[in-house]
Amino acid sequence: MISQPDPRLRTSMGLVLLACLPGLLALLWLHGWGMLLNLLLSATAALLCEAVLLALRGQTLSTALGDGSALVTAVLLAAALPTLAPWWLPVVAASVAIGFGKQAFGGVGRNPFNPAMVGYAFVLLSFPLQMNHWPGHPPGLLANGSTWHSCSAACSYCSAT
Amino acid sequence: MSDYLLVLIGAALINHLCLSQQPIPRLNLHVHGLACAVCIALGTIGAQLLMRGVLAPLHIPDLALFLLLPWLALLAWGLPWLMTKWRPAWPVVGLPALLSSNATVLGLALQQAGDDSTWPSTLLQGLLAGGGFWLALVLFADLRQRIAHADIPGALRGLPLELIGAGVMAMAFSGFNGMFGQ
Repeated sequence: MISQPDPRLRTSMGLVLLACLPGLLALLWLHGWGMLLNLLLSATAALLCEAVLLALRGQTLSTALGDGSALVTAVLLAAALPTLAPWWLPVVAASVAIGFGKQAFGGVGRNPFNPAMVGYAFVLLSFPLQMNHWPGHPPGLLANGSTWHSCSAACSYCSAT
Repeated sequence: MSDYLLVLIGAALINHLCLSQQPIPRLNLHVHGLACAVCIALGTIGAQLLMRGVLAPLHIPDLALFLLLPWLALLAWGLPWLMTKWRPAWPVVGLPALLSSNATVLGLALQQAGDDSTWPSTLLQGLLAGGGFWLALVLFADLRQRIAHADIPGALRGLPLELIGAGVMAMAFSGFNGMFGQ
């Protein structure tokens, strides 16, 4: 068992995160702050889930948490999930992704399926209604009066359901 | 159509589980897949022939099972025998039992064929179902090969993880839902 994360893995995960940045910024520009909230929730859930499962498997936390692969999964999920989704959707998606997609198969590099897409497929099949909570027209950060109104209507709809 | 797909996947999973108590050689797997594919294709086509040629003119569609089950049993026992004649080196031990237990797949295929489908579509459906079954069988074998390493958590080693993998695969296949326009 290696004590340090593989530096190449760490570098490549950092590059993936860097490559995701423009897309995430565009998503933030078009669809508003919901994406950041999703990112925060899924990253927290993914890291927490990874830590708990690693502790259960009796492995060192810093090795696997430090390589950034859980963070990449969380970023991919945040980019894929609808921005107006209820708070538990990214949490469930990230937990399933890390639990069933990655750790069940033995951790980083052992997984036959992409963890983020396992989580996405799971929530897409289980909660199809909540997976449609995209804002109708992208108002984003450039919202003028009328589009902002439609967005807040959508928000109140999504909090009401 | 997607129901049909899931039935095939499920049947392949079950067949794979009974087939592989221990790691099996690839040749065994391919022989089984080929036999099942031919069995499904011939079974569907022959069943359609029986339905239209014998049962429909005599107006006894209720007796379909009594005619079709012997036909399927004949296929299940005859195919391995023919295969040993053709390629004596191929292992066909235990194949008849598995083939006849495949009657569930065939029964569903017959239900589909029992609709008023045309001849080309019946033929195509039989061939595609057989090929899909073979493909799914190989897919499960590959999955099993990929998850056979030492890093698996102990509680999930072996069958549980295989079932989880099959579930994930079924989630992926459900992406075909609505693709066939029905």
